[in-house]
Amino acid sequence: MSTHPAVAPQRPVPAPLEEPPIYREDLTLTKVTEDILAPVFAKPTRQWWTAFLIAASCFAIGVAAVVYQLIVGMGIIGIQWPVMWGTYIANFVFWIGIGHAGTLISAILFLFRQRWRTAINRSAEAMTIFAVMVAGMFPLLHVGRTVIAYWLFPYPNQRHLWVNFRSPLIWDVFAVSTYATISILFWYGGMLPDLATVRDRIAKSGFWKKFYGVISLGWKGHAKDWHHYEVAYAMLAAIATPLVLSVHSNVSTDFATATAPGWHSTIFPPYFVAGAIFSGFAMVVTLLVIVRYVFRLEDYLTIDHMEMMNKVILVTSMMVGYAYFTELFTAWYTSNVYEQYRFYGVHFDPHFWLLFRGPNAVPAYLMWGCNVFIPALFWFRKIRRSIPVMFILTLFVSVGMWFERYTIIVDSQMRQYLPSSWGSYRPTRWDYAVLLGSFGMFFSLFLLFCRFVPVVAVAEVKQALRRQVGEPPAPKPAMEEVNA
Amino acid sequence: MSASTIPAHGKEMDPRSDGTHFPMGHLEVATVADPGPAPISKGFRQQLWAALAIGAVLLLLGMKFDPHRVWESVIVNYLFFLILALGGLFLVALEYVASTTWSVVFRRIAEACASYLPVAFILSPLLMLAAPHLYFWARHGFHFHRAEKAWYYSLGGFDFRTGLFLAIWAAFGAFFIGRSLRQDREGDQINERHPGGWGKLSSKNGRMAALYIPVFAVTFTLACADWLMSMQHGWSSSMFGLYAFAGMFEAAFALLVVLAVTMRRRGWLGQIVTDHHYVDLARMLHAFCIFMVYIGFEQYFIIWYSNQNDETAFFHRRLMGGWNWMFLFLLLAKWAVPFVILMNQKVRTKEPVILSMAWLILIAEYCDIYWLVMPVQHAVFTLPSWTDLGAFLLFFGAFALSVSRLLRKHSTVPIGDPKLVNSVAGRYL
Repeated sequence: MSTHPAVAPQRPVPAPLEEPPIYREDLTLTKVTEDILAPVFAKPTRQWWTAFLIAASCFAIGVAAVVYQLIVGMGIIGIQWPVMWGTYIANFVFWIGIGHAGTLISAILFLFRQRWRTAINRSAEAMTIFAVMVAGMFPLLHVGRTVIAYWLFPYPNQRHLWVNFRSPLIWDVFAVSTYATISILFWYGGMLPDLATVRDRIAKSGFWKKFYGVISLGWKGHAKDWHHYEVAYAMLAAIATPLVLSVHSNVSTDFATATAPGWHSTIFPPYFVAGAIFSGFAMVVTLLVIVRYVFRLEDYLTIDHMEMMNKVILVTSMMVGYAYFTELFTAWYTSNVYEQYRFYGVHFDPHFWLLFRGPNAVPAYLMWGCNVFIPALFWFRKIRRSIPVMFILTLFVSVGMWFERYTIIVDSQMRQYLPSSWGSYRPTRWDYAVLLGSFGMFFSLFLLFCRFVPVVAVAEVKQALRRQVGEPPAPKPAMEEVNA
Repeated sequence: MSASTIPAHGKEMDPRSDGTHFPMGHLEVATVADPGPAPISKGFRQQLWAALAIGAVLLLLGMKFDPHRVWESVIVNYLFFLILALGGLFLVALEYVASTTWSVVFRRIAEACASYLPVAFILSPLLMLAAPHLYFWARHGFHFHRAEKAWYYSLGGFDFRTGLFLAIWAAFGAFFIGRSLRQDREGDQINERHPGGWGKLSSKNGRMAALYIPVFAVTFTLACADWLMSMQHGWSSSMFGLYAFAGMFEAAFALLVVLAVTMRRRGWLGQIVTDHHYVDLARMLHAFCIFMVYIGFEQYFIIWYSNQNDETAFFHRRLMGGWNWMFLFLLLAKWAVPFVILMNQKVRTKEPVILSMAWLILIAEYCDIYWLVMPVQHAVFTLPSWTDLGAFLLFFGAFALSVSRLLRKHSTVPIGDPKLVNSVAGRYL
């Protein structure tokens, strides 16, 4: 048995610190409900219609391009031997990566008790789901014969199809569908109390009252409801946490298990995960800057929230930078000359007048510039707390991360082992149309989401507010009793 | 009084008292008693000096009978204690940069581990002397005299980098420890710009830590490439730096657990460390054993799947001739066993459980370094020999003397940190 002898205090110690408030001091619970639910009840504003029309038009362009591709065939997009994985795969990896921020915020930050997540988790989770939906389309388009893409699923094998379980592409099917399922459950489960609030605030009975009644699954707000809700939420968070790492690790094995120089690198799994969180947070910041402006939610999506997210962007940017550094170092260190050429030859042509003008140098410089050097500006507190600057910086990050995927995917195929297998690649206008369409789809869905569902988790903000204002006083034991 | 109660609060802690949320902020602690320096006896320190001397004698005897084996023992044991110190410094830097509250009570212990770094710098000539005997490139040229790498992988380059990296780490370590001790003496003012409770000194440390972590990431990766990766001729893996880092982090945490539990048992931490903090330690240990297996598995998996002979040579060597049992032990001890046992919230407050898991992880980290170094030198499994005992005693003595020197001269917790009270009370901002 051990003992803990009491030791007399030798010098005074500062008094405990008080928790800094997350939200404005004068917010009341009623005002929170009214402010956040306002966009759901009000008629759409002119800004909303403008944004939605732009997004929907982009989406329409994408749909037209896809339909045309389905009619005439894959020849219209840029892929050609030896580059058979083009922008569709880059888009797939890009959008899956965007989705990671939502799961990180909702699951990992929840487990870490980061209470600042309460204001941003709803929109980040919604964004995750839309990003995964957009991403899921690209493998279907990429396989060419989209009608029979269901062959990827292991269904009872009457037709003697042998699904290749040893292929990472099949693992992707499972990883992404699991990810989509868990994300939707998480998002929808967390929304139940708020959907019930919307239901209760609809005055007259009718279609919408019934609609919100059905989708809130009869939430009454009883203690029992809350108990089940809290338990389920914590369980889902624990289940979703490995998904943050596993999905993008799995996507990275699409490349890393291949033997192509530049693809086959052991650091790919954590490198892809860090990149995914990086691009995802950048996209969340971009969207929240718009949302807090359009819906007047500056009191809830405070500047402190934005600064926290910018800090995460800065950290993950350095992780990505570390991965770039190790890739370059290992390429120099290795005895594999193909690997070396993939990293140095492609970017630095030996002829002086071609210096920095290798066959795919520009995307590589965009990748370094936008992902490592530009986000380094977030070292400065003023920049982390400036809304216009962070909006521009996060757009740069999105561009940089798209080009990172482009560089990884295309360069390695252009410069394979034998010079006779070298080739070139240039995306066509149809590639760009589909990329534009994917952004259109994503933003259209997000704008619709903002109209039908509270953008900020009302119930969670109220809990945080309650903690800030203070619980109803509980009987406290006297100090003598405590120290006895 | 049993160890599983909180003397300061006089009641059993139930970590699940409100369902999903850990109880925070409801404990009333007005002041914290300074536990003072650790009363480490003179006799114990003399024993450490004796261990150091015996180790040195054994190594000198080894030079007469089996010099090659001596150099192997030196590198394994040198690197083991070096990463424990580096891990301690990393924990300190991480605390500053993330502005965490929960770990403040343990910071002095991590600083004590980091205080070995200057000693490691002084002992680094041993590593430099070992290099010509252990590295293929030192005898035959890197990748058979590839001219563009000869300047880097030469003995001069190796020695220069080893010295440089150790000097950088030791300098940062001295900076952080010095500032922390100054905080002890002078106290610290709350920095108004950081409502999260940063003192002015910690605030500056935060900036320095933000500089240190990227510097550390790069230098540590290059150092591991020098010391461990380049030992396996012709092999490279871009994950290797991260692999070594994951092992370092897990082991440093395990050491923190061992020291914290031991010191609390002896009453050296006063009433500061509670079961609350055990739960935090156990959680972090759990999380980082998952991180370790993630990194280890992905490296193994990608190499296994692609099956290219220059890469599989690494695992081929380490999964043959009896080394495979060590690999299995690593998998169990670094991940499987702690993962399963520490999953249970209730056992996270049980001293014997977390202590045994921490010891298991520490032993496994030693085996990991042994497993990284030795199969290159010996194709068939080789048990640690008496030269290993000698090297272990030498570096252990040096390490333990550094740790106890800091702990017996200064308070065992950073008493001047404004966040200390919150850390004790479990009020994590």
